[in-house]
Amino acid sequence: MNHSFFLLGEFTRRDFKGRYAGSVMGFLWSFVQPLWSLALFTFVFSTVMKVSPVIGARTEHFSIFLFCGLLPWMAVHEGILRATTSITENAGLVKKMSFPSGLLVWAVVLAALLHEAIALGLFLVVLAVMGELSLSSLWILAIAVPLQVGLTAGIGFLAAAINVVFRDTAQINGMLLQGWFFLTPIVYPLSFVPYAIVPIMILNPLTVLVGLYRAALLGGGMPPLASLTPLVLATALSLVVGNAVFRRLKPVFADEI
Amino acid sequence: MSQPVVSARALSKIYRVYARPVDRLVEGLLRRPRHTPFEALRSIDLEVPRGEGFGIIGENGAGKSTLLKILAGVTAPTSGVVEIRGTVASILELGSAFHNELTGRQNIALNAAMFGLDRNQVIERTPGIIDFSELGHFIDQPVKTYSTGMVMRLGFSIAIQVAPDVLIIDEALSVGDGYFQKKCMVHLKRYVDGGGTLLICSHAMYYISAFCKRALWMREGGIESLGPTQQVVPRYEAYLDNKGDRKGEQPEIIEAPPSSPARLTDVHLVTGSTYRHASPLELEIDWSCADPEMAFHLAVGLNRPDEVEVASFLSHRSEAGPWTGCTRHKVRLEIPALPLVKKSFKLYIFLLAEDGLHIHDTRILDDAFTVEYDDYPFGIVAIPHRWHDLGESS
Repeated sequence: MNHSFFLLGEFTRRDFKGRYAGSVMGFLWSFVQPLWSLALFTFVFSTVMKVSPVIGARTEHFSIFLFCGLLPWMAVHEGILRATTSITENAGLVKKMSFPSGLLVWAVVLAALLHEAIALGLFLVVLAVMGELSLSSLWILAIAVPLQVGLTAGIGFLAAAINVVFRDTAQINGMLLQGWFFLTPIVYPLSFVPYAIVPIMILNPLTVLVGLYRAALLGGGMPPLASLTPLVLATALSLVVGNAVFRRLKPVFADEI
Repeated sequence: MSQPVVSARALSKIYRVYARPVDRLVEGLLRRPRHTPFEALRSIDLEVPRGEGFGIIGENGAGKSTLLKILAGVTAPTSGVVEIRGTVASILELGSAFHNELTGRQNIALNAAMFGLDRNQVIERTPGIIDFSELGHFIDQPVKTYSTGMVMRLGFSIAIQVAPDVLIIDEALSVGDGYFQKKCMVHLKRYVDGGGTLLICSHAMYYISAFCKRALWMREGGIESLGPTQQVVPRYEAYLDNKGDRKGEQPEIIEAPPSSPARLTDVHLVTGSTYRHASPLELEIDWSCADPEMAFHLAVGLNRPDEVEVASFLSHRSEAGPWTGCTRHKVRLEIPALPLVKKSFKLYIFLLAEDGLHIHDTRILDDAFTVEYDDYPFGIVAIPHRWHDLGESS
């Protein structure tokens, strides 16, 4: 068990270091990439399309409102997408070494979380400079992050295992994730959504997650526990199903890649 | 007798071969088989006691690699049980289990951790691994800049320095220069003598005979023969000879890169390309080196065109050399007479380091000379002999 944690640490480190190894800016990309998406989305949705956070959103700046949603999304997106190919991309390891291959999935999920932490640190500094930083609700992240990691890992396990025997998974996943992004109130507030669709929107576990982040970072109160149900259920379900499928297909990994 | 370290009972492995990727999907959804089964292993039983070298031989596709993969825990058998008491490290197939963008040093940590070392052991063994690999300052360069030989050296250094209870090697010894191979062999020998258990698969019978007390000859996924190496190997070789497709083992060729400190500059037969039976043969060898302090030995191999080794001439075995003192050096090899009677021959010329092991450079003279002989000969050599008339037999 202890050894698995040590190995997981090594894998995560390898992933984190390997990503930027050989590039000139290296680790700085972890800052630049989220800022770039932020700038683009702000231009399109705020400058051009005039979306603005509504009253009750606790900020008048669209970019701040947006970043609260982008933070968890980027980690979920990166985690699931990279987990999908984590086994197939490491064919060299899986075919030559005997080790718990699930660690490869955990490693990319944790590396994505690490990137998120970097972006979050940056964001907190920006908030402080703008005078909008409130620490009173930050504790909500302690609930949001574990649920987010569980959800990402669960879906990641499922996708990674299926991608070994069915390589089209990676392509399909990219499309599904794109859809998920726009069906989650990240670039628009939930209040813009037509009233009839709202009950469906709040069943989306990511809607709940983004809501938690906004509450945590913009100093809102903890949402009612009952509203967390879609996220908690989705996390539990994905972990159970993902694990079961991964376990079942694991013995053939080395033969199929 | 002590308990076996490695034991396998009734191991079988059946691969599912699908003609098209969609067949796999349809099979998964409809639960109707759409694959062709391929039986890679058929009911293998095996026990290897502690401290034994165990060799696995057989033709390509006989199931050797599949068996080693199962024993190494990389893939699961379709049926049967494997039991290994102790830690395992393995070098399977060629190519690496390294991350190309990371440095050699960073890869050591991960690889050693995967072989079961904890953090302290990794820190403790890393200097030994780097030392053994002789990668020098390359250890802090990304693995993508390494040559195949360097990758293999690193992989082998890790596996051997991890000092597992069981070491599994699949054909990995066949790359790398002669010097490093030699060093690995010395180490493997020491590992087995020190109580390590070695499972090795190779096409080079030399390795199998050097390390293994027992050998397993596999054929079409099953056991053809299992027993003492000195019985199994000759049987296998006889089988190959019979099949007629045994290629003489190609000698290893190392040609010096332009940057090499020492290289052969000229080799030529003074006596020309036609050889009169029983006349002298003279070969002149020139080499250059950067440093006049370097000392060299030479080796010359005489082969038939089909790579059957006929004779060898080694300066370090004949109390000649090592030669040193110049940056350009010339040596002549004189052979007073060769008993050859027909056909053409090939010469291999090796420029060796002072230790007589490390190869600096190699030259090959194809069709080096053709033998002229007056009588019509049977066989390839003329052997001095006498006939005696012993009169009427009783």
